Amino acid sequence: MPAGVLDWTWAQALEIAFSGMLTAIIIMIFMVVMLRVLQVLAYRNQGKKTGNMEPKSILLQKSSNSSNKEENTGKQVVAVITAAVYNYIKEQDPSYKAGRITVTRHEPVVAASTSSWRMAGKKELLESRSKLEKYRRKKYYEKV
Amino acid sequence: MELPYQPGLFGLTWGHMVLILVGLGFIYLAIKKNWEPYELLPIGVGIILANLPFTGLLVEPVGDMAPGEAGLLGILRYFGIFQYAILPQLVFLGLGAMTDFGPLLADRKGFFLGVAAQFGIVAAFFGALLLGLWGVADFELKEAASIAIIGGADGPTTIYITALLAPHLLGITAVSAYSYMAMVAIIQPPIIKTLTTQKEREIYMKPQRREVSQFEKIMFPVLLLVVVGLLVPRAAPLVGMFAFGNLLRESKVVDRLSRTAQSAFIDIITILLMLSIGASLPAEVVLQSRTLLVLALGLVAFSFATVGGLLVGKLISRISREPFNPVLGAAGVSAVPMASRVVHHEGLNANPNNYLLMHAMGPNVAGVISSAIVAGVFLEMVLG
Repeated sequence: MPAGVLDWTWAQALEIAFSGMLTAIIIMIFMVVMLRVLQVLAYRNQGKKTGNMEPKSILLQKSSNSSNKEENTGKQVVAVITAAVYNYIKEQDPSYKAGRITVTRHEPVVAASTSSWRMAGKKELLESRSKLEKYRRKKYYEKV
Repeated sequence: MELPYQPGLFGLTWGHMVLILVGLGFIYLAIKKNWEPYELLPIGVGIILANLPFTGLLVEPVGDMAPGEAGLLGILRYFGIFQYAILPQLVFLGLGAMTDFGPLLADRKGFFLGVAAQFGIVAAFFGALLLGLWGVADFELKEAASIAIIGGADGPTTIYITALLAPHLLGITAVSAYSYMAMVAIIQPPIIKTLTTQKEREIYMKPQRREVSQFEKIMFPVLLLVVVGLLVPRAAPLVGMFAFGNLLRESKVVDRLSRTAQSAFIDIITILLMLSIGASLPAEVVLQSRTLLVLALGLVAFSFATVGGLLVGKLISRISREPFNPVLGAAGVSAVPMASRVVHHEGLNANPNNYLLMHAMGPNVAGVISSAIVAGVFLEMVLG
């Protein structure tokens, strides 16, 4: 090609760039729609197997939202720990008899049980303790 | 005194020495700074080998040649890239086997972020053409298209397109793509901070969206293969191999093949491809003013890719019912996994409870697919 002569026109360049982006967008939209269909099909297959037609993610979400679930999980954890401790002791001492193990579950302190401003104040104090300490020391040295 | 043979030292020019130093620099960056070591280390060695005089390593196997006349690097370049371009396609097979589409399938918004980041390709394409128009450089349409694909932030795609459209630019565009991919952690954060507010970066997203079924994971590569193959035939070599590799992984019935594709196979191809790229950088090709322009356009491409992703990320954040962190848009730049890591760190810096890594992997892999599609369209329209 001779120097200074362009081998393209603006229309051609715009067409190439526009077509590239548009094709990618169309394919991606198509893929998103098809994947939605696949997701529904997957749930239906799952439903046929389990007898529950509700999507697994929704079931998980529902169960995680309920307080019963949390309580059950807590009880399960206690049971598992108790069983593990029992098995361990039984291995060490075969004459050991069950009924003497107690595993206590402590609920975390909920913020709502105390007033929110007190909780906020405590949190702030804890978080900025190191900063306050530096400030206190600086003041102390200044006095000296 | 006449020597019995000609030592390379006698043929050494300033250009060779500069390029040998560049090769050493790449090796240093790979070993000491851990910058894309799998790519930069073999590229660095390839550059050094290509710039040692009288080795004959770059002699390509053309016509009737005596045995041993063609050089190893010449053979690799000729068969692997220039004549058949099989190496970048095979790399895609390994990449597909290494890719988990789960995060993308779990949150399909990633597809749009991946496309948005291809804005970098458009920006670099017009940038290269404008430089020609203003008389700064004389980039032809094919060259402009090759340079633009650097904005796809995907090494094998850049190599494949450049090999077919402008083979003389191959070394520079490939090195530009890999170098900027290594520098994503430097390029992206200032753009992210400029285009998003602290409040936006703080937006918390739940760690996992939904569980993706095996059925979806298997069907996705099949669907991708058929749809892209039918709509953009020239993207099929890349996307087809990518989908095939992913199917090996997700089918769970060819575990040995999947493991090989993810490890030994891609490693061998990477060594051959990167050595060939390094060998495409002899002094007489690199030491031109055009090289600097290509590097500058590559930077423009990466920056605009980030901008495009972030703007669409902000749009999705506004219209989405669920909390959506717009920083994820930057992960649409398909530098896997560096762009995801940058997004994760930016999210974490703004809000210590924010773990965006898995969310970012979705747009990241969508970016790989999108850049291959755009590259395919460019090939269709430029080659005709």
